[in-house]
Amino acid sequence: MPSAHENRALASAGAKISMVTSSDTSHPVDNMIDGNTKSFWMTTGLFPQEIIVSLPTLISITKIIITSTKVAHWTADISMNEKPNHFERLTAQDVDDGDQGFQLVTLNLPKSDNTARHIRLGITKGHGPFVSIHKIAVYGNEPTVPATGPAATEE
Amino acid sequence: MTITGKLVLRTKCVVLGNSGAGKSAIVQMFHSDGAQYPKTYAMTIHCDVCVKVVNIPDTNVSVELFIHDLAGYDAFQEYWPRYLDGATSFLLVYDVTNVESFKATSKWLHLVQKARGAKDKDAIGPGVLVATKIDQTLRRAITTKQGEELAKALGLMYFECSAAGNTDVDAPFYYVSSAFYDLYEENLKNVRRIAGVPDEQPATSLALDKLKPRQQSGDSL
Repeated sequence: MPSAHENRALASAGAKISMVTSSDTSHPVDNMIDGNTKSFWMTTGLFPQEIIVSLPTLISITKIIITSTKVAHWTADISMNEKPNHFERLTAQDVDDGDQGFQLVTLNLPKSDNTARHIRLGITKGHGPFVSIHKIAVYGNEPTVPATGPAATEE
Repeated sequence: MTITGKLVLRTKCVVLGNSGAGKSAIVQMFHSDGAQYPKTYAMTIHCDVCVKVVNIPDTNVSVELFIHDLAGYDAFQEYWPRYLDGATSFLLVYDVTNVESFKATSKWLHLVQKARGAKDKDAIGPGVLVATKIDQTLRRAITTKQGEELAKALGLMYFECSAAGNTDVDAPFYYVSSAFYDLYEENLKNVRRIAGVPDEQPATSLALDKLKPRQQSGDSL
């Protein structure tokens, strides 16, 4: 079983990108979840832009770290459903320009329980006309069985 | 490059300049491929938006211009900054028969620069200066030379056209599209540098790189 220190948003671990709002086939979307910051996905103009990351299983998220350039504002929503729908707002935060380097952003997780199957990331503003996303890393555990679960089976 | 290799870039292109300079006329002629010249004057209210796709020659790239034809009438000035927000290219328009519209170009450019913000000079991307109504030779008050000098002073490319005569209306839009593509390529170079990826890849390895991810993503998407 994978530990909490492992990145769950890896294509090799079964994660995938369910949706993006722009695409350049020379820089495919899977570049964001290949665990490598050298490869990237870049927007092709205009904001907002969105990405939906679908995890292989439900994960109780403890940390989301994104490597990017020129993003000015992140929004994040999560969904626990099998299909990527009924999202709930997780966070919205401004990002400083990385100037000549990467932006390494750790998203705020205000709630104690952030269990999700899908993460919808939104870029509403950029520090330039285009932004690039190099790596999305999601850490967390498989959720513990809900308290009602065992009680129900005991009956 | 395969069929799926088509790249679509998108830019918000704001057309600005004094009221009556002919902004809507050139936008409508360009948008309709020369079919719709507005014969009577209709003042634009707030901002008219239309989309036009421009293919960049000899590439698999097309640029979608989200043209924002801004109302030049003063009553709308409090809205101008809002319509300029997020713009990534612009056409600055004046009327060659109207000296006031020519003089006002610096005011309009100032508005663009303000929307850009002090930090990032390139935030609004490529822009051009467009002189309209050149078919009106007898009424012409601003010469080509004056226009070119102004463009040089403002640091913009100069274009002149006539919507009524359907002359060279497309050229400034094509230029902006192609300059926007250049901006994309430049940005790509910059991102590669940040990521520590070599810039010039041999053509063969590029083609291989493109094949590999497509095979992977085939079933996952």
